[in-house]
Amino acid sequence: MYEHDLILMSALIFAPAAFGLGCLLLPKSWLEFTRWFALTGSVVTLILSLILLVDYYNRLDFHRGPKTLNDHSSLLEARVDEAARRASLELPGSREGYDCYASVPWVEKFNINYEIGVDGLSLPLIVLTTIIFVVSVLASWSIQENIRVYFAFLLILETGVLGVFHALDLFLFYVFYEVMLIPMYFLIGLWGGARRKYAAMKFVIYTLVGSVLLLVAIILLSFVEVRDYFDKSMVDTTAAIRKRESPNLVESDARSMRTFSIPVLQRVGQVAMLELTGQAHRIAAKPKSEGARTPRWDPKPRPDGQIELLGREVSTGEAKSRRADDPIYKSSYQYLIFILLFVGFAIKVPLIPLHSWLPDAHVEAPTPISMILAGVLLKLGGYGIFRIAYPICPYAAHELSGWIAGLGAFAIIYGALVCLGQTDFKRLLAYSSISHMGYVILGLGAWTGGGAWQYWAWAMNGAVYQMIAHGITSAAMFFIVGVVYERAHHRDLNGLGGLWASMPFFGGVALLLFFASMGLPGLCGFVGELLVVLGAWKFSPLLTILAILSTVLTAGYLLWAWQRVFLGTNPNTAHYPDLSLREAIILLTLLLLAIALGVFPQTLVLNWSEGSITGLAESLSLLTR
Amino acid sequence: MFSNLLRDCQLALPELILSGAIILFLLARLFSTVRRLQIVVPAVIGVAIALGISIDSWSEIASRSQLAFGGLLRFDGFGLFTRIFLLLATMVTLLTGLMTGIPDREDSADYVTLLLGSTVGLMFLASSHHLLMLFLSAEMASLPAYALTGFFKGKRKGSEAALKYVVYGSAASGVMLYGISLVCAVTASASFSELQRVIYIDRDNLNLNGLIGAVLIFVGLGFKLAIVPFHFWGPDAFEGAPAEVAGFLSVASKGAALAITARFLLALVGPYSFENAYINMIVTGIVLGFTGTLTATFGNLMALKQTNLKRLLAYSTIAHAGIMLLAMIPLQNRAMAPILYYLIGYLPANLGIFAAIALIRNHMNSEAISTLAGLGTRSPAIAAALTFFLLSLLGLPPLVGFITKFQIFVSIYEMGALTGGLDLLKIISISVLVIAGLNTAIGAGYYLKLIKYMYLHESPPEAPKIPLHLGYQIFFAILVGTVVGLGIMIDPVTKLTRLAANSLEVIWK
Repeated sequence: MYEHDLILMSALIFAPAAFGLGCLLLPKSWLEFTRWFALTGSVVTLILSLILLVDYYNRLDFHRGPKTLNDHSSLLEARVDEAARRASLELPGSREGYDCYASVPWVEKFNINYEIGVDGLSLPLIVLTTIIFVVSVLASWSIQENIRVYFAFLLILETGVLGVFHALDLFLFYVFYEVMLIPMYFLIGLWGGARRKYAAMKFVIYTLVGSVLLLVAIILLSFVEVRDYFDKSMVDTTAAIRKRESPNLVESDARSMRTFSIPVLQRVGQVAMLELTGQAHRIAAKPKSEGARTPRWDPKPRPDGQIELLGREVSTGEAKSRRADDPIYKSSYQYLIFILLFVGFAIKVPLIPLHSWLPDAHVEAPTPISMILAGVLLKLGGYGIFRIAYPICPYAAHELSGWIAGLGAFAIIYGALVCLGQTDFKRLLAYSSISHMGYVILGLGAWTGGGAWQYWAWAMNGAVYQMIAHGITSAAMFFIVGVVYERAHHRDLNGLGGLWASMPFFGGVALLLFFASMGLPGLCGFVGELLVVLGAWKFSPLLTILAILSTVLTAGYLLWAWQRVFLGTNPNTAHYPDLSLREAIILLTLLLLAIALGVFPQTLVLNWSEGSITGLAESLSLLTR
Repeated sequence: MFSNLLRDCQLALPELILSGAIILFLLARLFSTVRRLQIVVPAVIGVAIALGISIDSWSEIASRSQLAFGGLLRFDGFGLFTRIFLLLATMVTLLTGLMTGIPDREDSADYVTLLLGSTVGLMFLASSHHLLMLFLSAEMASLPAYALTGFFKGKRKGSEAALKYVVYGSAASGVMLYGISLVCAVTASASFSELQRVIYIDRDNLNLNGLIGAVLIFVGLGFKLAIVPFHFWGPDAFEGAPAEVAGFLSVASKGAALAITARFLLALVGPYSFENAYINMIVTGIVLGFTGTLTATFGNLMALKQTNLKRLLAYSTIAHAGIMLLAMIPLQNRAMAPILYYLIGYLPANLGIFAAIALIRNHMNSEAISTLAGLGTRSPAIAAALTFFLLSLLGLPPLVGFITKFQIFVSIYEMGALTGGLDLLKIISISVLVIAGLNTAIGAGYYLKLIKYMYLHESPPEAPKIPLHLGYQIFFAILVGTVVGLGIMIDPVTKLTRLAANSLEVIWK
């Protein structure tokens, strides 16, 4: 059933691009048909992502015991290990079906694989992406110029985003990460507002700088000697093949292994952390085969405190001596790589002081693109830190966690304060995104090690939930601006007002969505913030109090903005028509999601996402003493 | 003896076919009936035959390197790869000429003979195994190129460019010849394998004159590569030459020069062994690292402020030559594989850009960057193709420019990372990497500027649309397909380049 996963996930990744290229082939005059075609493409993608979700859910249901939350079925590393072990058998065993993981060789020289897989961390973001793209295609009906190219770029962008969320190979990750750059450049630069050239260029330069940092980190990581992290039998086979090809190869060169695989490099980082904190005795090899049966690997520590991080039958002593001269196990390298990765992703989040591209990009981008930018693209930064920066460099992440949490709290407050001073509706929302994404960083930074790891697990779950909630509310908010802009043709908060009288239905829906963004209980914004704050309290009460206090600011600027737009009387806005059917569908969908996610967080998301995220928090936390 | 000659001729069959074609085309002018024929099509056929034969001989030549013509030429996988690359570049250049009609019926024979003559020279240059052959083939490649540069007879800029190119070129040839004579005097031979033997076995005979000679030869090659500070001819020649010729100069002539530089430097450092490897790497690391980073940075910075498209591309070519020079720093056979990949990825992108420039020139009679304004709406097909080519040169995945740059960066880092305790090498490799990375960011400045002009600027009111026949749409589509395909299907080409690089093993006589 190996092909099932490969085909389903690849179809999900590439379906949008296929429809996007299809758009280019349509005749120019088929305007309406092009729109429906693009909508079909995004809906097909949404359906595929839901099928993947059902697969994943079934998998958890089928394998998971009633008590354990994060066992091998929800932990990606364990699934990857199992798949690699089966593939390396003399007679490759049948792959387990529906395990939502696939790997195909791509560039053999560098051991680069087309390695994709999902878990409770990436899957919510994938579903969010497909939903937001459907909604923004609907929101794109008002785009009139050159729509074939517009939808082509939009859908290729979706392929890039979905590829990033699926990729488990750093090289593949980087390729998809860069694929997003050019469509976004054109979408802002061609369909944007007055200062679009400036905003598009600024976006590209910031993003390029971030990805150059990533590339350097990836090249550094690709030189790590990882033979001790693969099963001995697999290294033996590889060495035998290499020797057959070039007989005069030195034994140690033949056995040398490099990788771009995130799950493997993750274990390297964990070993480095144990080594650097003086706990080298806790490093153990994976369980050996007992006869024909090989026990499953459990990434969690054994009862005696040892953690199985090395490959099967690898001698811990030899591995230790090999680690002695590898620079990756030095703290300076860990810091270097972590900072490269963290800064690279923080530009995308965006974290203060690397945020200044975002307000410009938002203000100039057309409405649907703003929705995607805030709803999906910002999440890539957070996801990258979750998936790559933290697991691969846990040592540096732990040492710097105070700074990171501080930066997160600072972003929350700073973003909210700047919001208070804005008069441009979109610019205000851009800064509110910065403030909201601060919660994600705060949740990540609140690393309470050792026995108190459950608190961090809450905070991490909260951070992921916050990304989803912010994805939905921010997309809705930017659409609200779009609705207002289409009628008023400006976004100056001081020139609006009185919309409640002319557009009562719109005003009501908007108010509820403003509440959701504010984080009122019963709506989606509340759950994420609450979980983050609960978890972060244990780490630093001071930062938590600051974060809680800033919700007052959030309520302040959002309500004030709503008031300036909807209340009062204004003869200029009196004739505005209320929402059209299409606009109402978009806003009601998002509102429905905001309410549903606020009322049933456990049933809808946490049930299947919690296992992986808690597992990540646990496996990292237990590395500390 | 005679059977040897037959075998050697067989090895050099593609070159002989091209030479035969040249003679045929020259003779054709004598007959009034064929004088007016467009000669480009038969030339394309001739190149295609040579290409077919070269590709066909791959498995035989790549598996066994051999010397031919009394050791003047060396036929191995590396040389064959370069020759195939050169033939492909010539083919694309000829097709571009056919599309833009630059050689019209009147002068197509001149154009084709000059172009093919230069190609034959370049092919011999890439296979040279002897300093004399190096000099002769470099001259053979250059003389037609001088004439091609001034191919627009009525244009002052063209004549000026050709003159500049000739003056610089002959000065460089003189310097190289002097260097060759010095080296010959010291080593009593000019064959590459003899050089290696003298340097690594009879070290006692070496003296300063030999070193000076080697440096002078390197200067001569540096002129061909247009590396700083021997680059001055480049922008002027490119600006004055027809875009078709400029593309040929920037791709084919650069590729062959790079191949022979690799051969020459490998001959100087000799076979890889532990005693000399580190010293070599440090020396070449400093020399190549310095000139390479200087060239890349200078080229990129100068390209930023150009207003003429071909001048901008000339500086971009200089910058790319710098990067390729950096790729040679690890000076081992296997380090040459990424260079070959780089060349093969550079070919479709750069020739495609020059073809597009030629088309634009035909319709707008100008080559300023401003002619691109609004191209995205006027001629969406050309603009889209140009976007792919420019992004590939910039090095964005999943286009081929990314994987080539990635391989070079990895190979440079590998040199520093895998040599144990030698900190100096590490410092060299890291600093080279940092500068090369920064250069990518500078490059974004001007490549994206061109894209910005095409899509974000309003097209001038009188600007014409540029029609593109179906055949040439396919031509551009194939080039774009190559740029994308080579960036995704990485393994097959990597295997070929590695095989080619491994074939550089020394042959001791």
